Amino acid sequence: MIEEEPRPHQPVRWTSRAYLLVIAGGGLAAVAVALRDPVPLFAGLPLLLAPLLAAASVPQQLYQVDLDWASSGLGQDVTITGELRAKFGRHAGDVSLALPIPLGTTEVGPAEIQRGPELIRFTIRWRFAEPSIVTIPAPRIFWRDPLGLTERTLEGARPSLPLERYPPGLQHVGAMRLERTVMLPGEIRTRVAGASGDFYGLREAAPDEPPRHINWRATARTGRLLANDYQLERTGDLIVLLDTRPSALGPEVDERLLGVARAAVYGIAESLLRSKIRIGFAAFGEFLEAVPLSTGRIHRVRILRAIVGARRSDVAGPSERCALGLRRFFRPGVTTLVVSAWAGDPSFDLLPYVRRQGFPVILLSPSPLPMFVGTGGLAPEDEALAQRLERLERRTRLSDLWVHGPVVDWDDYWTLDRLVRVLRQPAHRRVS
Amino acid sequence: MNEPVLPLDRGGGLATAVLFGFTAGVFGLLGGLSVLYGPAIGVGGVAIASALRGWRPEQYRTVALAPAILALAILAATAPPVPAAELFGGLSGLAFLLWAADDPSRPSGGGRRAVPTIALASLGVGLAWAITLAVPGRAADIGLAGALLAAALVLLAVLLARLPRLTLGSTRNA
Repeated sequence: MIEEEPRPHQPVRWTSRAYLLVIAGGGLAAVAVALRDPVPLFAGLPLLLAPLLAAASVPQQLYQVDLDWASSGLGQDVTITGELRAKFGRHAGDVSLALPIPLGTTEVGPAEIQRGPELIRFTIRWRFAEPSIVTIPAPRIFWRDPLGLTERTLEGARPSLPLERYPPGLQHVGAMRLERTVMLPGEIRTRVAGASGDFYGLREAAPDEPPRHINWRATARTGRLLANDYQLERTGDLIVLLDTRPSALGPEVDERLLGVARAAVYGIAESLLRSKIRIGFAAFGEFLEAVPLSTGRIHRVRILRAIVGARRSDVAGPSERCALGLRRFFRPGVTTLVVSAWAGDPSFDLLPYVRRQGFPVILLSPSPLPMFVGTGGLAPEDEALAQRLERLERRTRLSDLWVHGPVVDWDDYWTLDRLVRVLRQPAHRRVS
Repeated sequence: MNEPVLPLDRGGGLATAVLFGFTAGVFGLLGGLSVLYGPAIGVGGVAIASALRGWRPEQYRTVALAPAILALAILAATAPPVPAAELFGGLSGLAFLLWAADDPSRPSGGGRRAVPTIALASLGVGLAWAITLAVPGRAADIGLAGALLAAALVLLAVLLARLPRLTLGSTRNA
């Protein structure tokens, strides 16, 4: 049996403050010698002694701390609770945790913390300005002596913390029956209403589900209402196309808008996949990157990873390339949700090109206007007027796109009811 | 994501700032400057340093100490060699350490936790003051200062030679 070589733990480091004190103390001692005056010596003596005493007080046994944390909360609010476990002893008060705050997030009140000899519990409250999907990396935990002259980074198990905040209404999108725009191979549509076709699988029962549709054995097994799903009754598929091209709004606004769009796509995908609806994902920057239509657990992991990994591209590819790329990955006819901020340039617009390739489109356009509120330095009444004019201008520009498909102007980031309404009413989606 | 890094709970530092300001003020009063300027420099240095670290605790954690040290140095350099000034010079240095420990960018209660370290430092100051009282003449003071200066230079050389780290104790897991 090979014995594993013990890993050396993090060394103790001097902080810049220790250097400052030694230089100041030494300087005062030098002044005392130069002036033959003992007073500077007395003032400098504590400064010289402090680093030595701090180095002598380093706890030798405290080099590893394990972190266990989780997030909770609804909508904009995030509550992070965590526990640090180690033999802190009397040094619990000297342990700090450096936690990076995600962009667009504010702290709500001071953190609550309880320190014990073997356990430190903390609660942090944040508020997200807009929907976002972020992963908080493992924080740096360190010990620093009370005077702040020596410090040691503490090792240990540190999982990262994923935070998902998207409009709460998206959780119920999966319960919706999407229109089937593509027929299955060999399928002949019947005018007779009712259940037919081969058994496809089980799904969560809707509140108004007829008792005949309920699979009572499966319900008894799982303890929640499950209904049978048949091949011909299946809801339609959905492709989500995320536009990651740079726009005229600038990189910072682009990043924020993409963050909001990513959160919405994440919520939609998760909700639809929970209901076993086939979903495909494509991100278009300079080139098209796609995850083909599918469903299931593995597909869920694959697609959610692709959504989280979608980043703003530095170069904008032509819209034709996107449309042709879609044809390569997906069958024409599948309902396509295009998520694009659409900054106003008609050649930038994906909708006509995608539609021309045979994909019925719905545009979800996150509006940049809420991000500019209060940045113009206007008086409140002027600000309200400016907002109203900007909103009207945007609506006018977006109205040109209605010839290609339904358009959802998303200006209230914490609700997507308008999109849900469009998806729920198939008649709205049929554009001649 | 890489913007502000915040500790969990933050200290206040007001009580120790008042204590440090009072000690530095008295030290200024006993010093060689006028009755007006001495305390003003002492209290002013402490006030500027406290305001600086209270305004941006993370950014000015180290820099904020500089105005207080500078005020202390001015007062010490101009003070006459009398036992009261020597005592308050030492007390000001100790109060400075207590104030530095009560950092708003650090977990609260730093001053309280630093008491054992500061108590040992005050023992050193008390011992040095007792020596100056017991041994007449300034030769002993200057000898002590020279020894401390040499010690400071050696310590600084050790710190700089081992920049940026100083490993203490075992480097392997037990």
